[in-house]
Amino acid sequence: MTAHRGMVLIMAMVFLLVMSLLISAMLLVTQLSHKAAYAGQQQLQTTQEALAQHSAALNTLSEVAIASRRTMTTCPASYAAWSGGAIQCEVVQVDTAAYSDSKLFYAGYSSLVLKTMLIQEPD
Amino acid sequence: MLKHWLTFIMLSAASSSGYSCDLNNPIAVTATLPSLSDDGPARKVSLSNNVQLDIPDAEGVLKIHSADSSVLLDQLTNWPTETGHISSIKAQPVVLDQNYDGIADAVYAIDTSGHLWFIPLSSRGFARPELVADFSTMAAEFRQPLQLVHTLAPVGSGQLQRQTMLLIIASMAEGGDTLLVVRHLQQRAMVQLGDLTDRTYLSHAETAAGIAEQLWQQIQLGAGWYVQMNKRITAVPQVYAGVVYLSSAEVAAVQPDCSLAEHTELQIHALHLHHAGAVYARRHWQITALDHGQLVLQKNLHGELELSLQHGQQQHRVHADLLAITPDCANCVTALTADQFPRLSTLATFQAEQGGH
Repeated sequence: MTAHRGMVLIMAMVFLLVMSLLISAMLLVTQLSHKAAYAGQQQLQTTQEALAQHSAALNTLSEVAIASRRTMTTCPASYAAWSGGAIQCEVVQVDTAAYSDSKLFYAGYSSLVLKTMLIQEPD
Repeated sequence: MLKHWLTFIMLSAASSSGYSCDLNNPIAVTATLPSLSDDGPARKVSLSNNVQLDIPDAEGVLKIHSADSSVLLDQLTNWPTETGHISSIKAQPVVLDQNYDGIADAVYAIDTSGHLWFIPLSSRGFARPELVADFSTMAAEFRQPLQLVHTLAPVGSGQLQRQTMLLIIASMAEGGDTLLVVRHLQQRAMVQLGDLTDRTYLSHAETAAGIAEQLWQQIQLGAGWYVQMNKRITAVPQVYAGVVYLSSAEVAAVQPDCSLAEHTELQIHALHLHHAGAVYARRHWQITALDHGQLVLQKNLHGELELSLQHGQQQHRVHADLLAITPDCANCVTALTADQFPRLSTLATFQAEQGGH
């Protein structure tokens, strides 16, 4: 009788162990799935944020985003061309970057922008 | 009465001396040449012609001096002609930077007879000159400064091709000046006046409805165009947004310093860079100002762009409501306004992503 009770106890404990393992595995899988899904979404969000940030920097050509600038001796050819002394051109490199919340993902954009300015005496 | 006679005699003397009004800048043209060693810094040099070398009546010569030390680096006295010589070079040459790297690749020079030369430059100085055009049959004097414009020009099939355009002024003692616009293509044979389209007069049809498609196609395939002003050009032609602006006056009324005799009307010309047609309602108009000076693009007190004549501190408005040509069609134009500047155009964008979750 005592031996039977021992077996039942062991089986119950094995059953509980198997169940707890199953539940732990299910929980882990659920978390991983959630994390994987969220990672993709956050990556897209970061990329989108970086693109928006870059577009804004290109429109304003803010000094913060300018990585380098080089003044050209001659402006590039155009259909509506200009005399040499009338306009001045410079090639500006604009760099922007965005990081995800976890700082583990980075999205960066770099553009070369031609800036054409009028050369004129102040009135 | 005596004063009037004296004025008349002075004007006659100025006009009979022929080619009055020198538009050249007295300062020599500067350029940047590559270093003699592979890793050395680029060198600033100056290019002198016969006038700057103070030998205006000698045979044509160009010299390169170091801009810092004035040391002679190279000279061009032997030209690929039968005699090895050319006429004096009095017109200011222009420097070509073909690949926009800030280093001069070639220089264009024209002698007084009308031979236009393309002279490649290297770290050692001048390479062998190539004759681009020969306008000696015009029997004119070519002493006014050359102008160079980098353009994208249509080439018949609707495509735009990068070209170098040169604005040249030919002066005749009594016939006035002629503006020639020459397209330089490396593979093209030597250009002569007959290769350029005569755009001195516009037909009534063109005046009313713009350039005809057939003529436009013909000009696109040609080597350029010319317009006989029958007047003396009094300011260096300026190209603003594809429009060539210049001023002119009666030959006899232009003084050696390019100022005008009293009661002389100044004529302003605005020509389409690619076909010399009208951009505004008229191709030229008179202005009442008895003034002279350089044509400049100015922003006025209201922030609008306008074309002015500037002489020292004096300014006179020539034209407001400026236009720019567009490649959509031969006669297409759009407004040129100050708020379009600075103009930003994105050449390339690179994207980089790194890491993961």
